[in-house]
Amino acid sequence: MISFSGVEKRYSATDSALDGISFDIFPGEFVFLVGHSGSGKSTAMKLLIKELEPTAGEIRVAGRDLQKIPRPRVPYYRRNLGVIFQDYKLLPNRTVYENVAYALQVTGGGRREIRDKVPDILRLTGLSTKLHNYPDQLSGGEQQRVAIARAFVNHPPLLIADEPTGNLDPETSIGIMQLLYRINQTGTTVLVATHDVSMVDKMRRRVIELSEGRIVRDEQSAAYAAAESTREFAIRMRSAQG
Amino acid sequence: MKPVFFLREALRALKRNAIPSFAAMATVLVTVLVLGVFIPVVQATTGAANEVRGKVIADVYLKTDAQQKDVDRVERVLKSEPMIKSVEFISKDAAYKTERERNPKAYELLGSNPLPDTFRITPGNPDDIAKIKDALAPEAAGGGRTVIDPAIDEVRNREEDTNKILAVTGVVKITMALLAGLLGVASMLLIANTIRLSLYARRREVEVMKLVGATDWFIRWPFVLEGVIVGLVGGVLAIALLAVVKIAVVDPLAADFALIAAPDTIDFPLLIGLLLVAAVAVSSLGSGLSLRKFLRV
Repeated sequence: MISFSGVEKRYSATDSALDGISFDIFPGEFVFLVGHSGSGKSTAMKLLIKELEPTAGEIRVAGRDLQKIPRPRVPYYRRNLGVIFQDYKLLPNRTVYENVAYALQVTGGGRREIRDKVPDILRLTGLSTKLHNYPDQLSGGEQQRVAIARAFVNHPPLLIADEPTGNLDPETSIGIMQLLYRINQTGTTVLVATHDVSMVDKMRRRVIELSEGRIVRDEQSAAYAAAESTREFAIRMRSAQG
Repeated sequence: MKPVFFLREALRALKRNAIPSFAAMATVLVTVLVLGVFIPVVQATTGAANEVRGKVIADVYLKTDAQQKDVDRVERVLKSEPMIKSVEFISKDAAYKTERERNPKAYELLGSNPLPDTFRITPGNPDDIAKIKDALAPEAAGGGRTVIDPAIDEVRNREEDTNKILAVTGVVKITMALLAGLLGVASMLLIANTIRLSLYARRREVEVMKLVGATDWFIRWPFVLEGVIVGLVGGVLAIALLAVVKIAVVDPLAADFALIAAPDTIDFPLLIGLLLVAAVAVSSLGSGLSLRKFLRV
Protein backbone atom coordinates (compact mmCIF):
# COMPACT_ATOMS: atom_id res chain seq x y z
CA MET A 1 0.00 0.00 0.00
CA ILE A 2 2.73 2.40 1.04
CA SER A 3 6.35 1.92 0.19
CA PHE A 4 9.20 4.23 1.20
CA SER A 5 12.58 3.40 -0.27
CA GLY A 6 15.62 5.40 0.71
CA VAL A 7 13.51 8.49 1.34
CA GLU A 8 15.46 11.53 2.37
CA LYS A 9 14.20 15.01 3.20
CA ARG A 10 16.42 17.96 3.96
CA TYR A 11 15.08 21.39 4.85
CA SER A 12 18.57 22.82 4.56
CA ALA A 13 21.95 21.52 3.51
CA THR A 14 23.03 20.56 7.02
CA ASP A 15 20.02 19.14 8.83
CA SER A 16 17.96 16.31 7.47
CA ALA A 17 14.47 15.52 8.76
CA LEU A 18 14.47 12.08 7.17
CA ASP A 19 17.73 10.31 6.54
CA GLY A 20 17.08 7.60 4.00
CA ILE A 21 14.22 5.57 5.46
CA SER A 22 12.68 2.47 3.86
CA PHE A 23 9.60 0.51 4.88
CA ASP A 24 6.54 -1.14 3.37
CA ILE A 25 3.00 -1.13 4.64
CA PHE A 26 0.63 -3.74 3.25
CA PRO A 27 -3.07 -3.37 2.47
CA GLY A 28 -5.29 -3.74 5.51
CA GLU A 29 -2.53 -3.11 8.04
CA PHE A 30 -2.85 -0.84 11.08
CA VAL A 31 0.52 0.77 11.63
CA PHE A 32 1.84 3.25 14.17
CA LEU A 33 4.62 5.64 13.33
CA VAL A 34 6.16 6.77 16.61
CA GLY A 35 8.99 8.97 17.74
CA HIS A 36 9.76 12.12 19.72
CA SER A 37 9.00 15.55 18.35
CA GLY A 38 11.46 16.27 15.60
CA SER A 39 12.04 12.62 14.79
CA GLY A 40 10.59 13.06 11.31
CA LYS A 41 7.06 11.65 11.78
CA SER A 42 5.28 14.73 10.56
CA THR A 43 7.68 15.10 7.66
CA ALA A 44 6.89 11.54 6.59
CA MET A 45 3.16 12.32 6.78
CA LYS A 46 3.55 15.51 4.77
CA LEU A 47 5.49 13.62 2.12
CA LEU A 48 2.63 11.13 1.92
CA ILE A 49 0.02 13.79 1.19
CA LYS A 50 2.43 15.51 -1.19
CA GLU A 51 2.51 18.68 0.84
CA LEU A 52 6.30 18.29 0.64
CA GLU A 53 8.59 16.68 -1.90
CA PRO A 54 11.38 14.30 -0.84
CA THR A 55 14.97 15.36 -1.46
CA ALA A 56 15.85 11.83 -2.55
CA GLY A 57 14.31 8.37 -2.65
CA GLU A 58 11.00 7.04 -3.86
CA ILE A 59 7.55 6.92 -2.26
CA ARG A 60 4.86 4.70 -3.72
CA VAL A 61 1.24 4.70 -2.64
CA ALA A 62 -1.07 2.06 -4.09
CA GLY A 63 1.55 1.38 -6.73
CA ARG A 64 1.88 4.99 -7.83
CA ASP A 65 5.16 6.86 -7.67
CA LEU A 66 4.31 10.14 -5.91
CA GLN A 67 7.14 11.94 -7.66
CA LYS A 68 5.44 11.29 -10.99
CA ILE A 69 2.13 12.90 -10.04
CA PRO A 70 2.09 16.38 -11.65
CA ARG A 71 0.95 19.27 -9.51
CA PRO A 72 -2.50 19.66 -11.13
CA ARG A 73 -3.22 15.98 -10.43
CA VAL A 74 -2.39 16.22 -6.71
CA PRO A 75 -6.00 17.00 -5.66
CA TYR A 76 -7.19 13.83 -7.42
CA TYR A 77 -4.50 11.81 -5.63
CA ARG A 78 -5.55 13.26 -2.27
CA ARG A 79 -9.13 12.13 -2.78
CA ASN A 80 -7.95 8.52 -2.49
CA LEU A 81 -6.54 9.32 0.88
CA GLY A 82 -8.27 10.08 4.15
CA VAL A 83 -6.21 12.51 6.21
CA ILE A 84 -6.66 13.37 9.89
CA PHE A 85 -4.70 16.07 11.73
CA GLN A 86 -3.94 16.94 15.31
CA ASP A 87 -5.73 20.28 14.94
CA TYR A 88 -8.72 18.70 13.10
CA LYS A 89 -8.60 21.26 10.25
CA LEU A 90 -12.36 21.66 9.96
CA LEU A 91 -13.90 24.52 8.01
CA PRO A 92 -15.02 26.95 10.74
CA ASN A 93 -17.84 28.48 8.68
CA ARG A 94 -19.61 25.20 8.07
CA THR A 95 -21.72 22.94 10.18
CA VAL A 96 -20.72 19.37 10.93
CA TYR A 97 -22.95 18.18 8.10
CA GLU A 98 -21.52 20.71 5.62
CA ASN A 99 -17.95 19.91 6.59
CA VAL A 100 -18.44 16.26 5.74
CA ALA A 101 -20.48 17.11 2.65
CA TYR A 102 -17.63 19.30 1.37
CA ALA A 103 -15.42 16.24 0.89
CA LEU A 104 -18.10 14.84 -1.44
CA GLN A 105 -18.75 18.13 -3.23
CA VAL A 106 -15.05 18.35 -4.02
CA THR A 107 -15.25 15.11 -5.98
CA GLY A 108 -18.34 16.28 -7.82
CA GLY A 109 -20.78 14.38 -5.64
CA GLY A 110 -24.40 15.37 -6.22
CA ARG A 111 -27.02 16.26 -3.64
CA ARG A 112 -28.48 12.78 -3.62
CA GLU A 113 -25.10 11.20 -2.90
CA ILE A 114 -24.56 13.70 -0.08
CA ARG A 115 -27.99 13.02 1.39
CA ASP A 116 -27.30 9.30 1.29
CA LYS A 117 -23.78 9.16 2.60
CA VAL A 118 -23.31 12.00 5.08
CA PRO A 119 -25.92 10.99 7.68
CA ASP A 120 -24.63 7.42 7.52
CA ILE A 121 -21.04 8.29 8.20
CA LEU A 122 -22.04 10.71 10.96
CA ARG A 123 -24.06 7.98 12.61
CA LEU A 124 -21.06 5.67 12.40
CA THR A 125 -18.90 8.28 14.14
CA GLY A 126 -21.56 9.02 16.75
CA LEU A 127 -22.40 12.57 15.71
CA SER A 128 -26.04 12.18 14.70
CA THR A 129 -27.19 14.74 17.23
CA LYS A 130 -24.65 17.39 16.24
CA LEU A 131 -25.37 17.70 12.52
CA HIS A 132 -26.08 21.42 12.55
CA ASN A 133 -23.51 22.53 15.09
CA TYR A 134 -20.48 24.57 14.06
CA PRO A 135 -17.01 23.24 14.92
CA ASP A 136 -16.45 25.79 17.70
CA GLN A 137 -19.54 24.45 19.48
CA LEU A 138 -18.04 20.96 19.73
CA SER A 139 -15.54 19.37 22.11
CA GLY A 140 -12.11 18.34 20.84
CA GLY A 141 -13.10 14.70 20.64
CA GLU A 142 -16.23 15.54 18.67
CA GLN A 143 -14.29 17.74 16.28
CA GLN A 144 -11.85 14.92 15.65
CA ARG A 145 -14.76 12.59 14.96
CA VAL A 146 -16.05 15.06 12.37
CA ALA A 147 -12.59 15.09 10.80
CA ILE A 148 -12.57 11.29 10.69
CA ALA A 149 -16.06 11.26 9.17
CA ARG A 150 -14.87 13.69 6.51
CA ALA A 151 -11.75 11.61 5.83
CA PHE A 152 -13.72 8.39 5.52
CA VAL A 153 -16.88 9.51 3.72
CA ASN A 154 -15.33 8.72 0.34
CA HIS A 155 -14.22 5.30 1.63
CA PRO A 156 -10.58 5.78 0.69
CA PRO A 157 -8.35 2.69 0.70
CA LEU A 158 -5.85 4.46 2.95
CA LEU A 159 -6.33 6.61 6.03
CA ILE A 160 -3.44 8.53 7.54
CA ALA A 161 -3.60 10.36 10.84
CA ASP A 162 -1.01 12.78 12.18
CA GLU A 163 -1.22 12.88 16.00
CA PRO A 164 -4.99 12.37 15.98
CA THR A 165 -5.14 12.22 19.77
CA GLY A 166 -2.49 14.85 20.44
CA ASN A 167 -4.96 17.36 21.89
CA LEU A 168 -7.29 14.88 23.60
CA ASP A 169 -7.55 13.31 27.05
CA PRO A 170 -6.89 9.54 27.43
CA GLU A 171 -10.53 8.46 27.57
CA THR A 172 -11.47 10.46 24.47
CA SER A 173 -8.34 9.17 22.77
CA ILE A 174 -9.47 5.61 23.27
CA GLY A 175 -12.76 6.49 21.61
CA ILE A 176 -10.90 7.92 18.61
CA MET A 177 -8.62 4.88 18.41
CA GLN A 178 -11.66 2.65 18.59
CA LEU A 179 -13.13 4.50 15.64
CA LEU A 180 -9.91 4.16 13.65
CA TYR A 181 -9.79 0.48 14.53
CA ARG A 182 -13.33 0.02 13.31
CA ILE A 183 -12.41 1.70 10.02
CA ASN A 184 -9.40 -0.59 9.76
CA GLN A 185 -11.73 -3.55 10.19
CA THR A 186 -13.53 -2.60 6.99
CA GLY A 187 -10.28 -3.28 5.13
CA THR A 188 -8.89 0.24 5.07
CA THR A 189 -5.17 0.57 5.66
CA VAL A 190 -4.52 2.92 8.59
CA LEU A 191 -1.29 4.74 9.39
CA VAL A 192 -1.17 6.71 12.63
CA ALA A 193 1.70 8.97 13.65
CA THR A 194 1.82 9.59 17.40
CA HIS A 195 4.13 10.17 20.33
CA ASP A 196 1.66 8.60 22.76
CA VAL A 197 3.71 5.49 23.58
CA SER A 198 1.34 4.10 26.20
CA MET A 199 -1.48 4.11 23.66
CA VAL A 200 0.70 2.34 21.14
CA ASP A 201 1.75 -0.29 23.67
CA LYS A 202 -1.85 -1.03 24.53
CA MET A 203 -2.93 -1.31 20.92
CA ARG A 204 -0.31 -3.94 20.10
CA ARG A 205 -0.13 -3.28 16.39
CA ARG A 206 2.82 -2.91 14.12
CA VAL A 207 5.08 -0.05 15.25
CA ILE A 208 7.66 1.84 13.22
CA GLU A 209 9.79 4.05 15.42
CA LEU A 210 11.72 6.99 14.06
CA SER A 211 14.55 8.78 15.78
CA GLU A 212 16.44 11.65 14.23
CA GLY A 213 15.22 10.73 10.81
CA ARG A 214 16.09 7.02 10.95
CA ILE A 215 14.04 3.92 11.64
CA VAL A 216 15.17 2.46 14.97
CA ARG A 217 12.40 -0.11 15.40
CA ASP A 218 9.98 -1.89 13.09
CA GLU A 219 8.17 -4.58 14.99
CA GLN A 220 6.35 -6.45 12.31
CA SER A 221 6.16 -9.68 14.22
CA ALA A 222 6.16 -8.40 17.79
CA ALA A 223 3.40 -9.06 20.27
CA TYR A 224 0.69 -8.66 17.69
CA ALA A 225 -2.86 -8.71 18.95
CA ALA A 226 -5.07 -11.24 17.27
CA ALA A 227 -7.98 -10.01 15.23
CA GLU A 228 -10.69 -8.96 17.64
CA SER A 229 -14.03 -7.25 17.41
CA THR A 230 -14.29 -3.55 18.10
CA ARG A 231 -15.99 -4.29 21.39
CA GLU A 232 -13.24 -6.65 22.54
CA PHE A 233 -10.73 -4.06 21.43
CA ALA A 234 -12.37 -1.34 23.49
CA ILE A 235 -12.62 -3.52 26.58
CA ARG A 236 -8.96 -4.45 26.34
CA MET A 237 -7.91 -0.83 25.86
CA ARG A 238 -9.87 0.36 28.88
CA SER A 239 -8.67 -2.44 31.15
CA ALA A 240 -5.06 -1.81 30.21
CA GLN A 241 -5.56 1.79 31.15
CA GLY A 242 -6.50 0.96 34.73
CA MET B 1 -25.44 22.32 -10.92
CA LYS B 2 -21.84 23.48 -10.59
CA PRO B 3 -22.44 27.24 -11.22
CA VAL B 4 -25.28 27.18 -8.74
CA PHE B 5 -23.06 25.49 -6.18
CA PHE B 6 -20.26 28.03 -6.70
CA LEU B 7 -22.71 30.92 -6.45
CA ARG B 8 -24.13 29.53 -3.22
CA GLU B 9 -20.60 29.17 -1.86
CA ALA B 10 -19.81 32.78 -2.83
CA LEU B 11 -22.96 34.09 -1.15
CA ARG B 12 -22.25 32.05 1.96
CA ALA B 13 -18.73 33.48 2.15
CA LEU B 14 -20.06 37.03 1.76
CA LYS B 15 -22.57 36.52 4.51
CA ARG B 16 -20.12 34.87 6.88
CA ASN B 17 -17.40 37.47 6.29
CA ALA B 18 -19.71 40.45 6.34
CA ILE B 19 -17.19 43.01 7.59
CA PRO B 20 -14.31 42.32 5.16
CA SER B 21 -16.85 42.02 2.35
CA PHE B 22 -18.33 45.35 3.29
CA ALA B 23 -14.85 46.92 3.41
CA ALA B 24 -14.06 45.63 -0.08
CA MET B 25 -17.37 46.89 -1.38
CA ALA B 26 -16.90 50.31 0.19
CA THR B 27 -13.44 50.51 -1.38
CA VAL B 28 -14.87 49.77 -4.80
CA LEU B 29 -17.63 52.29 -4.22
CA VAL B 30 -15.30 55.13 -3.23
CA THR B 31 -12.87 54.36 -6.04
CA VAL B 32 -15.53 54.26 -8.72
CA LEU B 33 -17.01 57.46 -7.36
CA VAL B 34 -13.68 59.28 -7.51
CA LEU B 35 -12.90 57.95 -10.98
CA GLY B 36 -16.40 58.84 -12.15
CA VAL B 37 -15.88 62.44 -11.14
CA PHE B 38 -12.28 62.62 -12.24
CA ILE B 39 -12.59 61.22 -15.77
CA PRO B 40 -14.96 63.96 -17.04
CA VAL B 41 -12.86 66.59 -15.25
CA VAL B 42 -9.72 65.39 -17.02
CA GLN B 43 -11.54 65.34 -20.31
CA ALA B 44 -12.94 68.81 -19.84
CA THR B 45 -9.52 70.15 -18.95
CA THR B 46 -7.72 68.55 -21.87
CA GLY B 47 -10.62 69.59 -24.10
CA ALA B 48 -10.19 73.18 -23.00
CA ALA B 49 -6.44 72.94 -23.49
CA ASN B 50 -6.93 71.56 -27.00
CA GLU B 51 -9.33 74.32 -27.85
CA VAL B 52 -6.75 76.89 -26.86
CA ARG B 53 -4.16 75.05 -28.90
CA GLY B 54 -6.49 75.18 -31.90
CA LYS B 55 -5.85 78.91 -31.96
CA VAL B 56 -2.24 78.33 -32.98
CA ILE B 57 -2.06 79.43 -36.62
CA ALA B 58 0.37 80.90 -39.11
CA ASP B 59 -0.26 83.38 -41.92
CA VAL B 60 1.39 83.12 -45.31
CA TYR B 61 1.40 86.55 -46.98
CA LEU B 62 1.76 86.65 -50.74
CA LYS B 63 3.43 89.45 -52.63
CA THR B 64 0.98 92.23 -53.53
CA ASP B 65 1.60 91.68 -57.24
CA ALA B 66 0.77 87.95 -57.10
CA GLN B 67 -1.38 86.71 -59.98
CA GLN B 68 -4.17 84.11 -59.80
CA LYS B 69 -1.79 81.39 -61.09
CA ASP B 70 0.66 82.21 -58.30
CA VAL B 71 -2.13 81.92 -55.78
CA ASP B 72 -3.19 78.53 -57.15
CA ARG B 73 0.39 77.28 -57.15
CA VAL B 74 1.04 78.36 -53.55
CA GLU B 75 -2.23 76.77 -52.46
CA ARG B 76 -1.14 73.47 -54.06
CA VAL B 77 2.23 73.68 -52.30
CA LEU B 78 0.58 74.35 -48.94
CA LYS B 79 -1.97 71.58 -49.35
CA SER B 80 0.75 69.05 -50.20
CA GLU B 81 2.49 69.73 -46.88
CA PRO B 82 1.43 66.88 -44.55
CA MET B 83 1.87 68.80 -41.28
CA ILE B 84 -0.78 71.32 -42.35
CA LYS B 85 -4.32 70.39 -41.42
CA SER B 86 -6.26 73.10 -43.21
CA VAL B 87 -5.60 76.07 -45.42
CA GLU B 88 -7.91 79.04 -45.53
CA PHE B 89 -7.55 81.57 -48.33
CA ILE B 90 -8.27 85.20 -47.52
CA SER B 91 -8.21 87.30 -50.68
CA LYS B 92 -6.94 90.85 -50.52
CA ASP B 93 -10.51 92.12 -51.15
CA ALA B 94 -11.97 90.06 -48.33
CA ALA B 95 -9.21 91.19 -46.00
CA TYR B 96 -9.75 94.79 -47.02
CA LYS B 97 -13.46 94.52 -46.30
CA THR B 98 -13.06 93.15 -42.80
CA GLU B 99 -10.28 95.53 -41.91
CA ARG B 100 -12.22 98.53 -43.19
CA GLU B 101 -15.22 97.56 -41.10
CA ARG B 102 -12.99 97.39 -38.10
CA ASN B 103 -11.28 100.70 -38.75
CA PRO B 104 -13.22 102.68 -41.38
CA LYS B 105 -11.52 106.07 -40.95
CA ALA B 106 -7.97 104.85 -41.38
CA TYR B 107 -8.84 102.90 -44.53
CA GLU B 108 -10.76 105.81 -46.03
CA LEU B 109 -7.61 107.80 -45.67
CA LEU B 110 -5.56 105.14 -47.41
CA GLY B 111 -7.76 105.01 -50.47
CA SER B 112 -6.32 101.94 -52.17
CA ASN B 113 -6.00 98.43 -50.74
CA PRO B 114 -2.53 97.82 -49.29
CA LEU B 115 -3.31 94.29 -48.08
CA PRO B 116 -1.86 91.15 -49.68
CA ASP B 117 -3.57 87.83 -50.41
CA THR B 118 -3.16 85.61 -47.38
CA PHE B 119 -3.30 81.92 -46.59
CA ARG B 120 -4.16 81.16 -42.96
CA ILE B 121 -2.86 77.70 -42.09
CA THR B 122 -3.84 75.52 -39.14
CA PRO B 123 -1.34 72.80 -38.25
CA GLY B 124 -2.44 69.21 -37.64
CA ASN B 125 -0.44 69.28 -34.42
CA PRO B 126 0.10 72.71 -32.86
CA ASP B 127 3.60 71.67 -31.78
CA ASP B 128 4.61 71.48 -35.47
CA ILE B 129 4.01 75.16 -36.14
CA ALA B 130 7.69 76.07 -35.99
CA LYS B 131 8.61 73.19 -38.30
CA ILE B 132 5.96 74.30 -40.80
CA LYS B 133 7.39 77.75 -40.76
CA ASP B 134 10.87 76.36 -41.36
CA ALA B 135 9.56 74.24 -44.23
CA LEU B 136 7.87 77.14 -45.98
CA ALA B 137 10.61 79.69 -45.28
CA PRO B 138 13.87 77.93 -44.43
CA GLU B 139 16.38 79.95 -42.48
CA ALA B 140 19.15 81.24 -44.68
CA ALA B 141 22.82 81.22 -43.72
CA GLY B 142 22.84 84.96 -43.15
CA GLY B 143 20.08 84.84 -40.54
CA GLY B 144 17.14 85.96 -42.68
CA ARG B 145 14.67 83.63 -44.29
CA THR B 146 14.27 82.65 -47.91
CA VAL B 147 10.83 81.53 -49.02
CA ILE B 148 10.25 78.38 -51.03
CA ASP B 149 8.02 80.05 -53.58
CA PRO B 150 8.78 83.37 -55.26
CA ALA B 151 5.18 84.50 -54.83
CA ILE B 152 5.35 84.24 -51.04
CA ASP B 153 6.33 87.40 -49.33
CA GLU B 154 6.52 86.28 -45.72
CA VAL B 155 5.43 83.52 -43.31
CA ARG B 156 4.45 84.73 -39.90
CA ASN B 157 3.13 83.23 -36.69
CA ARG B 158 2.56 85.22 -33.53
CA GLU B 159 5.61 83.71 -31.97
CA GLU B 160 5.27 84.94 -28.43
CA ASP B 161 1.61 83.94 -28.09
CA THR B 162 2.20 80.64 -29.76
CA ASN B 163 5.05 79.65 -27.48
CA LYS B 164 3.11 80.59 -24.37
CA ILE B 165 0.01 78.70 -25.44
CA LEU B 166 2.01 75.59 -26.30
CA ALA B 167 3.96 75.63 -23.02
CA VAL B 168 0.96 76.16 -20.74
CA THR B 169 -1.41 73.73 -22.40
CA GLY B 170 1.40 71.14 -22.61
CA VAL B 171 1.94 71.31 -18.86
CA VAL B 172 -1.79 71.10 -18.18
CA LYS B 173 -2.18 68.04 -20.40
CA ILE B 174 0.82 66.20 -18.93
CA THR B 175 -0.30 66.96 -15.37
CA MET B 176 -3.77 65.66 -16.07
CA ALA B 177 -2.44 62.50 -17.72
CA LEU B 178 -0.13 61.87 -14.75
CA LEU B 179 -2.94 62.41 -12.24
CA ALA B 180 -5.25 60.11 -14.14
CA GLY B 181 -2.56 57.42 -14.30
CA LEU B 182 -1.78 57.74 -10.60
CA LEU B 183 -5.43 57.59 -9.66
CA GLY B 184 -5.91 54.48 -11.78
CA VAL B 185 -2.95 52.71 -10.18
CA ALA B 186 -4.00 53.81 -6.69
CA SER B 187 -7.50 52.43 -7.25
CA MET B 188 -6.20 49.06 -8.39
CA LEU B 189 -3.78 48.80 -5.46
CA LEU B 190 -6.45 49.82 -2.97
CA ILE B 191 -8.95 47.26 -4.20
CA ALA B 192 -6.33 44.52 -4.53
CA ASN B 193 -5.11 45.20 -1.00
CA THR B 194 -8.55 45.09 0.54
CA ILE B 195 -9.25 41.82 -1.21
CA ARG B 196 -5.93 40.37 -0.09
CA LEU B 197 -6.73 41.24 3.50
CA SER B 198 -10.08 39.50 3.38
CA LEU B 199 -8.46 36.49 1.72
CA TYR B 200 -5.65 36.42 4.24
CA ALA B 201 -8.20 35.96 7.00
CA ARG B 202 -9.43 32.87 5.18
CA ARG B 203 -6.14 31.31 4.11
CA ARG B 204 -6.52 28.44 6.61
CA GLU B 205 -9.84 27.58 5.05
CA VAL B 206 -8.22 27.42 1.62
CA GLU B 207 -5.49 25.17 3.00
CA VAL B 208 -8.07 22.78 4.41
CA MET B 209 -9.94 22.67 1.12
CA LYS B 210 -6.74 21.74 -0.67
CA LEU B 211 -5.98 18.99 1.81
CA VAL B 212 -9.43 17.49 1.29
CA GLY B 213 -8.62 17.20 -2.40
CA ALA B 214 -10.29 20.27 -3.93
CA THR B 215 -8.78 21.41 -7.22
CA ASP B 216 -7.53 24.98 -7.50
CA TRP B 217 -10.46 26.09 -9.64
CA PHE B 218 -12.97 24.43 -7.36
CA ILE B 219 -11.68 26.70 -4.61
CA ARG B 220 -11.15 29.70 -6.83
CA TRP B 221 -14.52 30.01 -8.54
CA PRO B 222 -16.47 31.03 -5.43
CA PHE B 223 -13.81 33.65 -4.69
CA VAL B 224 -14.00 35.03 -8.22
CA LEU B 225 -17.80 35.15 -8.06
CA GLU B 226 -17.52 36.86 -4.70
CA GLY B 227 -15.32 39.46 -6.37
CA VAL B 228 -17.87 39.89 -9.16
CA ILE B 229 -20.64 40.46 -6.62
CA VAL B 230 -18.57 42.91 -4.57
CA GLY B 231 -17.54 44.81 -7.70
CA LEU B 232 -21.08 44.85 -9.03
CA VAL B 233 -22.69 46.06 -5.81
CA GLY B 234 -19.99 48.68 -5.11
CA GLY B 235 -20.02 49.83 -8.73
CA VAL B 236 -23.80 50.10 -8.99
CA LEU B 237 -24.06 52.06 -5.74
CA ALA B 238 -21.32 54.46 -6.85
CA ILE B 239 -22.96 54.95 -10.24
CA ALA B 240 -26.31 55.63 -8.58
CA LEU B 241 -24.62 58.35 -6.52
CA LEU B 242 -22.94 59.75 -9.64
CA ALA B 243 -26.27 59.84 -11.46
CA VAL B 244 -27.89 61.70 -8.58
CA VAL B 245 -25.10 64.28 -8.56
CA LYS B 246 -25.24 64.62 -12.35
CA ILE B 247 -28.98 65.11 -12.45
CA ALA B 248 -29.18 67.33 -9.38
CA VAL B 249 -26.07 69.49 -9.80
CA VAL B 250 -24.26 69.24 -13.12
CA ASP B 251 -27.14 69.24 -15.59
CA PRO B 252 -28.90 72.39 -14.29
CA LEU B 253 -25.54 74.17 -14.12
CA ALA B 254 -24.72 73.23 -17.71
CA ALA B 255 -28.13 74.43 -18.84
CA ASP B 256 -27.98 77.75 -16.98
CA PHE B 257 -24.45 78.78 -17.73
CA ALA B 258 -23.75 76.94 -20.97
CA LEU B 259 -20.28 76.22 -19.64
CA ILE B 260 -17.57 78.09 -21.48
CA ALA B 261 -17.54 76.44 -24.90
CA ALA B 262 -18.39 73.13 -23.16
CA PRO B 263 -15.75 70.76 -24.47
CA ASP B 264 -16.76 67.25 -25.42
CA THR B 265 -16.83 64.93 -22.43
CA ILE B 266 -17.58 61.23 -22.37
CA ASP B 267 -21.23 60.20 -22.63
CA PHE B 268 -22.71 59.33 -19.26
CA PRO B 269 -23.95 55.86 -20.30
CA LEU B 270 -20.52 55.02 -21.76
CA LEU B 271 -18.80 56.32 -18.63
CA ILE B 272 -20.89 54.26 -16.23
CA GLY B 273 -20.55 51.21 -18.48
CA LEU B 274 -16.76 51.50 -18.43
CA LEU B 275 -16.67 52.07 -14.67
CA LEU B 276 -18.89 49.09 -13.97
CA VAL B 277 -16.88 46.76 -16.18
CA ALA B 278 -13.64 48.01 -14.61
CA ALA B 279 -14.98 47.58 -11.06
CA VAL B 280 -16.13 44.03 -11.70
CA ALA B 281 -12.99 43.08 -13.59
CA VAL B 282 -10.55 44.47 -11.03
CA SER B 283 -12.48 43.01 -8.13
CA SER B 284 -12.89 39.50 -9.58
CA LEU B 285 -9.39 39.30 -11.06
CA GLY B 286 -8.04 40.63 -7.78
CA SER B 287 -9.75 37.85 -5.82
CA GLY B 288 -8.75 35.16 -8.28
CA LEU B 289 -5.12 36.21 -8.52
CA SER B 290 -4.56 37.03 -4.85
CA LEU B 291 -5.70 33.53 -4.02
CA ARG B 292 -2.82 31.99 -5.97
CA LYS B 293 -0.41 32.39 -3.11
CA PHE B 294 -2.62 30.52 -0.68
CA LEU B 295 -3.32 27.71 -3.11
CA ARG B 296 0.28 26.49 -2.98
CA VAL B 297 -0.26 23.76 -0.41
